[in-house]
Amino acid sequence: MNLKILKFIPIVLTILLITLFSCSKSEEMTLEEAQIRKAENQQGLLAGTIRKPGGVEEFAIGQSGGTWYTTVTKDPKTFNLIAADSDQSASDILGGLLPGYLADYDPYKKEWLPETASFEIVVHEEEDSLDVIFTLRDDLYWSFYNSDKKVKIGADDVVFWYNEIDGNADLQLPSYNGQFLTMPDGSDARVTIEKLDDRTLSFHFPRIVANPILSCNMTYGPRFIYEPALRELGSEGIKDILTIDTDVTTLPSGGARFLTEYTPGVRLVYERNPDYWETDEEGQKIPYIEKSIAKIIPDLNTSFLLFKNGETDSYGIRAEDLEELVNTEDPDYTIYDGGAIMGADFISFNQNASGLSEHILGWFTNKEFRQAMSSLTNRERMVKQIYRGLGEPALHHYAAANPFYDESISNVYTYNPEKALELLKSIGMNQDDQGIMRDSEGIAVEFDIVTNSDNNLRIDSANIFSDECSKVGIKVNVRPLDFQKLVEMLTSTYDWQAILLSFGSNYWPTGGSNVWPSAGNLHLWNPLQDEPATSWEARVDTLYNEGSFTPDEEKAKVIWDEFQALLLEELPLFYLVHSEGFLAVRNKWDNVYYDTLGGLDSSRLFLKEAE
Amino acid sequence: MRDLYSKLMHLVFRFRGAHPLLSFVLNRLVSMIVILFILGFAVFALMELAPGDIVDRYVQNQMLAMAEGGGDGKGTNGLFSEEQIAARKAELGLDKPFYVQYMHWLKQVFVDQDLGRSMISRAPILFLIKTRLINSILLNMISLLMLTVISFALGIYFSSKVGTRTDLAATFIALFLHSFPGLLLLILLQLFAAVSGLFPVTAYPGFPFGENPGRFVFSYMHHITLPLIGAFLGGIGGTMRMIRATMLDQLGQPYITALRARGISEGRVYFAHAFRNTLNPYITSSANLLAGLFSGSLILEIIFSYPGIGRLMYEAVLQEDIYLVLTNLMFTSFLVLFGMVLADILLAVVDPRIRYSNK
Repeated sequence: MNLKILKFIPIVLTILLITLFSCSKSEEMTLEEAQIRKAENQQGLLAGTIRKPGGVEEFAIGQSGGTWYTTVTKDPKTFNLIAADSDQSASDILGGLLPGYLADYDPYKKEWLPETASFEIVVHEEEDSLDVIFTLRDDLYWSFYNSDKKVKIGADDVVFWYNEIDGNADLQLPSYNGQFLTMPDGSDARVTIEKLDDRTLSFHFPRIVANPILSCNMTYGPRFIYEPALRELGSEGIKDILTIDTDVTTLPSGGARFLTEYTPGVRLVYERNPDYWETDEEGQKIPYIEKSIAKIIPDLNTSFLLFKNGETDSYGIRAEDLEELVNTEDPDYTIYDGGAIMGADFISFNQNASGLSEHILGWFTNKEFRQAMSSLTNRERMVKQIYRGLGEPALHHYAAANPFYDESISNVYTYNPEKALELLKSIGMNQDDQGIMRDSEGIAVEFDIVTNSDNNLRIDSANIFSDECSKVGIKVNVRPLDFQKLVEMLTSTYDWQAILLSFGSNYWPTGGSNVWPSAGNLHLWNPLQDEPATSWEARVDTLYNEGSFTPDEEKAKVIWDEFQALLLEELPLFYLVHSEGFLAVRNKWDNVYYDTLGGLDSSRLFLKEAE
Repeated sequence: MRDLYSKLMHLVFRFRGAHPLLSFVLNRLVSMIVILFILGFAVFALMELAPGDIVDRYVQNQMLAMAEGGGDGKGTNGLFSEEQIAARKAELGLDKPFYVQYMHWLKQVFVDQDLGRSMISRAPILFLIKTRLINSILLNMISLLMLTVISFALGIYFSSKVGTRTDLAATFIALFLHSFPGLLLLILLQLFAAVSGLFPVTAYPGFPFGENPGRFVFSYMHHITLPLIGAFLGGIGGTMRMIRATMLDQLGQPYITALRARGISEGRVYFAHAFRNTLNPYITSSANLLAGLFSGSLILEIIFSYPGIGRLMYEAVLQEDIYLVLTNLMFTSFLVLFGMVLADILLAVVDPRIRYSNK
């Protein structure tokens, strides 16, 4: 038995020796050295990418052909446009079969352009009303796969869709409420639609609004299918047509593509619609891509592997994949650096009396406290540590695409612990002998911050915030929770203290109608107020209301400038970081322009070999 | 009344005496229906306890999306009003107590013979399940067959080598595989596929059967090789150890010694006697194995993008699409219970001691 044990001694000794020799004597890097190394690494990463934003150069003229391979994460749940409003994946898939919106917003020029209709705005100053007259293109059709049959699209289609689908109270579509405007006396009035001739229609606004195109811009489905179904089956029965078991080749398309195959859980196949109205500058039909195949891949890691294996043509790069893609030798793809994304996470403090203790409510309702918290938020550190240097601090209220975005109006409460201490001191908060921050009543400043547990980036941001606060003696407990639980806290129980979340971007000044006005159900720090709880919220309400109904851009700018400045001064929520967006596209495709403002316009892509 | 009851009971006992196995099977089928009924009730009750419902979830998500300021920036979307939310709930029957909803569902399934429609998409549930069920059954049956044949062969082989170094190594490997996390194993296999390029990183061909049946079959076999290896490696450890242990147990029994003493050939001792008796515990456990394969293949289906029923169920649970969840769950539970009944019948066939007969 002892002999057997002796046999193992050389093995144990070998392992010990290997372990000892593997320990090096070189010194550890200092923090500065580590940061320099990191910066070099980051530059190396960016050197492997290129910037080619849209809106700068003209698209080259291409030739049709080729198959574009991509992935989607979910199966469509329906092919019915009415039921699709509850399902993003279905609306994304069906969106490609629609002719398009009436008008198109160009985020580079920051102006509205015609899409399927040209438009004219007629203002009736004396009646305080306005009309938007749309004239539809003459070459809009619903066509069918492998068939010469065509159904022309006219004003009747838009009027039907506006009145009887979007405006049908029984169908309970969210777009129904979007057809109403709040009048100066507080009542609601509907924006009506009228057919002027076969191709022309007019939206009548009961009062002058700032951005009428945004308020009435819409897309529309095939009336010749939905109208008989509505008459025959009623508003309930119409939801049961065009379900997922419908033969997709029977679905008409007014858009760029036909859906020609759907294999559940496997793939969606699209083919070019030759009758689609859009053309390039030389009058050639676009999109140039002949066929698109979207594999249904629920796992993002699998999507990444498929791209690496050359099985898909583009990949929206996650932060963790960038280095691997950049460091691949002789890649057959290019990585496009799209710049900072428009959205950013934010931190907000609950100011609703129902869910908080009195002293915590006292801190959170204090403007200086919130300003101090913003001053303790080390956004640069978040950029470096979480986003590997690939991002920028989020200091503006509006997104860059917003027509009233102003570079000069930004959050001045950036990282500055001394300033934070000053602000806290001004409201009676001081550090005691042990460095613990106490309020004027001697209570230690401590609160919880919640965020969704499935998002590591947010948890990391909350931890950095907590760490910076601990340096001035404030204890912040990071509590990751289930996302639905968070939504429930925000919308019904109101029992949270601080939260780290994202709402996307402020693309339009009137966007977030449920967030910024005090009566909004997602005015998260104190929702559904009967009367504005504070004077600044009352002012925000006034500015939001005035701005929404001021069409004169110069006058509107004054209003929206004050609106932004007020929110950046009161800081009911403050933004953290805009990370950078990257996209990888195979080199065989030409006409690739990508940025986070306009995304990738795949309709202009064409195969280089086809040149 | 009393007479009728005693006559009825007399008939029942006579039937049980005359057809013990049939009566046993009928008994199990009745209890299966009762269990399924209670299970459905419990699922509805549990879904009721979960915060919110499908409409709340949708409205909440829509509120968050609204806050983004209008999706692609081309148009504004309205918001649901309280009346609209209430109307939607009423339309789906969510405003009623859960037991009423459950009864409504039962009536729909058994009286109207309609599995209903998904709450979200209004897609027929039968279509949703049908399109994926065949894929799940195909994969799981191949997997079960492969697992059974190989683990039996290995279990019997290594039981004959008991005490040798080969047996020690096999036991160690079986134990290692049994304790290796299944998720990690699948991820490693997928990485292997990506790095080596020998296998695809997904488990299903990129085109449907109808496009090219011949090519599809070959492509399918190529695509499922790695996931099959994953399922096989994950399951072989436990099964092989069980077979080996039962075989050793049987080989140590006095009747084996008696058989050997009579000069019966070693092959006959192994296969006609010892092996037959190892089937008993295997059949009992394979009832669970079938259901386990269905629920266990969820991770495989997600990682390898296999279009099976697990993925459908997973999404339905996340979205609280209760009818879809219920139908799916009932199906899986039915499989377990049916598997058990089947196992009992099989046991009676292979094991003369269990014939449920008093003769």
